[in-house]
Amino acid sequence: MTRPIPILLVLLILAVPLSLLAGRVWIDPFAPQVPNAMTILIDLRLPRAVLALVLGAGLGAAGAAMQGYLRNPLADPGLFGIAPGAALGAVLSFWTGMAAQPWALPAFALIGAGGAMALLALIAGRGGSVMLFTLAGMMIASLAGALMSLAISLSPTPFALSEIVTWLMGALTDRSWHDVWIAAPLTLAGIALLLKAGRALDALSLGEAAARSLGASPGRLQALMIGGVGLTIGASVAAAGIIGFVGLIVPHLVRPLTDGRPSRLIVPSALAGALLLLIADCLCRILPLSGGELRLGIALSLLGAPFFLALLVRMRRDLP
Amino acid sequence: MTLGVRNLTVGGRLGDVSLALEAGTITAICGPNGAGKSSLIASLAGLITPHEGTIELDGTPLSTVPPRIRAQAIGYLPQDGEVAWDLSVETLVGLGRLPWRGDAATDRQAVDAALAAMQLAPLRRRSLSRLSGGERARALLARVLAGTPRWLLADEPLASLDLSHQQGLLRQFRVLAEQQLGVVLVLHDLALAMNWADRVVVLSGGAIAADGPPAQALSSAVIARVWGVETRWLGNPGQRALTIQPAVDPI
Repeated sequence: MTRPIPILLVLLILAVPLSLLAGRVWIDPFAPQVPNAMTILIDLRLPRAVLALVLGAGLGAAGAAMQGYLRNPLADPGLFGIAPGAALGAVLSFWTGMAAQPWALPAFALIGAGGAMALLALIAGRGGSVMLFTLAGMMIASLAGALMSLAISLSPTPFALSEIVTWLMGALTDRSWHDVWIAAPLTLAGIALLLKAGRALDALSLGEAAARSLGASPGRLQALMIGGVGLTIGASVAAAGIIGFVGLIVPHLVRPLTDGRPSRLIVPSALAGALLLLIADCLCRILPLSGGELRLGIALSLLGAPFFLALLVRMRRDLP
Repeated sequence: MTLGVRNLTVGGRLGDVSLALEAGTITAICGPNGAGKSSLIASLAGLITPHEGTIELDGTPLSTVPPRIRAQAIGYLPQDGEVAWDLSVETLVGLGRLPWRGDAATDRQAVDAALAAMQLAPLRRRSLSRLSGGERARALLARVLAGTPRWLLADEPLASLDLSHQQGLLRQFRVLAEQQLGVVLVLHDLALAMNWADRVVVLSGGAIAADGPPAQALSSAVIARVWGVETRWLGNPGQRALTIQPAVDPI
């Protein structure tokens, strides 16, 4: 077993300054001054980098906790239906035309995430059964998806339609400190809840009955998971739209570096998620593409889906 | 130290069962499929909330004992033996310390003792996927022992083991009982219950059909009444074997 946390921290410390220099305008720290270099760094690239770190950490941690909770290495935070709930909220803010207000989109998205969380808690009840819970999450996801499609198809103006579609692809383009102040506290609170769930997730590795015999409370664990995944995923959708695959890939990459216990996977996955999102966003920024930037959500799907397929092929080979 | 149930009713599975268990002995719970064996042992472990009646640990209703304190006293080995991740033996056994939240040194000591008791010390860094069935069963039992429980409740711990591993595990249960642990096992193999248990509780249709020393609780008359099979015990105490009647000698 190696120590993933120090390695990831070193990589992050190296990657953050480098990411600030890259973009449409390259800033060479040793060359003569680029006009407006400070403005570009402080007001454009730094908040974007911080947001990538915060959201990546939330997505990574949520993925690690989710795989621990469902005892399945192929589980994704999206399974709870919280991301579609948040996206539905955001779509409604465009649909009603309120998205022009700076607070409206994140507020609507967080209300959507909160609604999905409340519905999930209500349906799953107090028993804490993982299977019932997952099925409820999937149903909420498809309900939110259907409502979202309805909102899109009934879109009041072509302008709103194009805004919705673009926003759903997920990106960190033109995000400001305002977005960081909304997303960071929520994400950090969410990660704190997921860390509190660590011991119960470890116990759950042995199955639900053994976990309870070890003193873990299924109801408390479920509440921590709803709160933790809800806050991290809700904040990420509110600030950047739908960004998939991070929560699925990152815990996979990090797990072999840990002793395998879910509790020991949460922090390294948060760090690796932050690193992945930072690098991916950087690549989106510097890729020469006519008509603007490559959307981060698309880039991660382009990266993530083949990775996942390769993983499945490898798993198939390992099967007897 | 006592663990018991009084007038326990678990909807549709157990009806008005009363039972007091004693530490330092091996108690086998036997019965046909659907008799309520797993429900009884899960109730004793505090995993099932009874519809009626109480489960008592040292005279205190188990429902009033905080889950973590209950977990420190009662170790439960489920039937499925599930472990979701490919942990090392050492990490798996360490999970048994979860109810304690003690200092690392005490935890390490308890894990070392459990590994030594199950002869797993040389395999401590090996991952579960590379263990044989017998080694895996020992590792799962070591996980329970690492929690230093006073009661060990195991639901069919011998089900997937070959003859020699069954005997090895039963010898371990005997050693644990001699160390004053209360050992409660759900067993399907009546000969193993007859030869190894100090006391046998026979369940039938959610009620106790017989309870006492093995020779009495598993007499041919009880087996005929509960399982509906005519049988006869052969051999001496401690080495008995069960034959089905009428046994037609082919020679």
